[in-house]
Order: sequence, then structure tokens, then C-alpha cells
Amino acid sequence: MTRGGRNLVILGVASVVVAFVTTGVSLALYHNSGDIYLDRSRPGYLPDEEEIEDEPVEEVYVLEKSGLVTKQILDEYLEAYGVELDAIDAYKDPFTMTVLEDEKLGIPTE
Amino acid sequence: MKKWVLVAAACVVVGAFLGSRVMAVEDVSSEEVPEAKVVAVREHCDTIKDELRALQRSDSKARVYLGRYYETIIGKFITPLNVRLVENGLSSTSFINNQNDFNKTRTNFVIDYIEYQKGLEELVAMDCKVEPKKFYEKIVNVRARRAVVAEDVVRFRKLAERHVGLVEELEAKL
Repeated sequence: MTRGGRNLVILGVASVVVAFVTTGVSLALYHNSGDIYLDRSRPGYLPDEEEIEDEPVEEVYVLEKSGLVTKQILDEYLEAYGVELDAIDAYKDPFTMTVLEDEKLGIPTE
Repeated sequence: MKKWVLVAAACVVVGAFLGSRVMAVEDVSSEEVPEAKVVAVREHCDTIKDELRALQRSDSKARVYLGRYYETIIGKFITPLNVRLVENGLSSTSFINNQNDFNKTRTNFVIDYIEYQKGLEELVAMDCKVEPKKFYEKIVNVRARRAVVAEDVVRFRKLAERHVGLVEELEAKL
């Protein structure tokens, strides 16, 4: 094998090794950082159809960071803020403890 | 050299913070598991695991749903208002403290949720027919982690209400 050919083989092997190492590091970081538990593109965690259906385009409230502060502005602010709170409250009992109770899992309570 | 020292110091601080948060919930496995529960876990292993897998999916939905509104509240409401109040000389420590509490609770919510999901995933991966006692002990542990996440959600709601109170107080003064 010529010197150039040998160097090419070494380059190829080194590239593959570097690719494996960087992929391994990325996966380790992805797992250890906890991002894997926030990722909804994993199989089994993909959004349901009703979650991705087209929502009507609504005007989104925007409060500019600069400007006067008046009663009217605060009124509008609280109204829009209330809509967000209502949406949060609409999700009933998030992370309720009952789902992990013994009774719910079919385990005797005594 | 100075830059690398600062980066290393920042990593140590972040790691210590995350570590302290992770160690908040210790394994709750000191109590003896009654035999009836061990038998039930072994017998209903498949059903229990199906319930847990369904729980993983529903929790994921809840996290995304709530997280989106938490981000909106902080990014589109609280922060711009506080900036505007400062500009108008109307800000107070209450508003700033509330914003800081919000940010802290949001960070804690993410960390606690990750720890809870990690535990849940380890639980689902266990073979409850072979190790029913350990499986049940893990359920108890995951329950505790879920309770911490639930506390974060409750805290968020209280902070959101507190913000309404602060704004209404300010509005009354104008």
C-alpha cells in the first residue's frame, strides 16, 4: 500500500472513531441532562392527533416592555392574564397522587 | 486561562445546585413491604406496568401543557410588566421577588419532573414478576418524586395568584 493509501485508511478509521465518540458523548449528555425525559418526539410520547390539530389563529396579547402604565392598560393586562390562568385551571388535577395509589394499581392497601 | 477558570467554576456551581435538588428526595425503602402487596405486584405485574406506561404519556402531556402556560406567564406577562413598571418608577420588591420566585419554581419544576420521570422509567423497566418487592419499593419512591412535582404546580398557581393581587393593588393606587 502506498503512503497516501495508508494515510487515507487511517483518516477513514479515525473519522469513524471520532464519529462514534462524539455520538456517544451526545447521547450520554442527552440522557444524563434529563432532556430525554422532556423529549416528546420519542416513540410512545408523540403528541396525539387532538394536540396537533390546527387551532384558530387568535390575537395574542402582547405587553410592550416600555410605555406608560395606566389603569386601562392594567385592566387589559389582567383580563388577558386571567385567560392564561383559566387555561391552566382547565387541566384538572395535574400530577395528582391518586393515580399511583396502591388501590389504583390493584395492590391491596393493607 | 482566566476564562477557563470561570467556566469551570460556573460548572461546579451549576452541578452543586442540580445535585442538591436531585438529593431532595431520598429512597423511601426502609419499611418492610407486606407479603400481600408483594404477591399482588407479582400477580398484576402486566396491568400495573400498562398503567404506568399510560401515566408516562399523560404526564408528558401535562408537562408540555402546563410548561407552555408557565413560559407564557413569565415571558409575556410578568417580565414585560416588571420592566415597564421599573421604567415608570412603579416597581417594588414584591413584584421583583414574585418574578424571581416564578423563575425559581419553573426551574425546580423542570428538575423535579426530570427526576420523577427518570424514576418512573426505571420503574417501568423493572421486572415486577422477578423482583416484586423492589418494584413496590420503587413505586413508593416514585410517588414521593411525583408529590414534589405536584407541589411545584401548586406553588406556581399560588405565585400566579399573588401576581394578580399585586397588580390589583397597584391599579388601585393609580
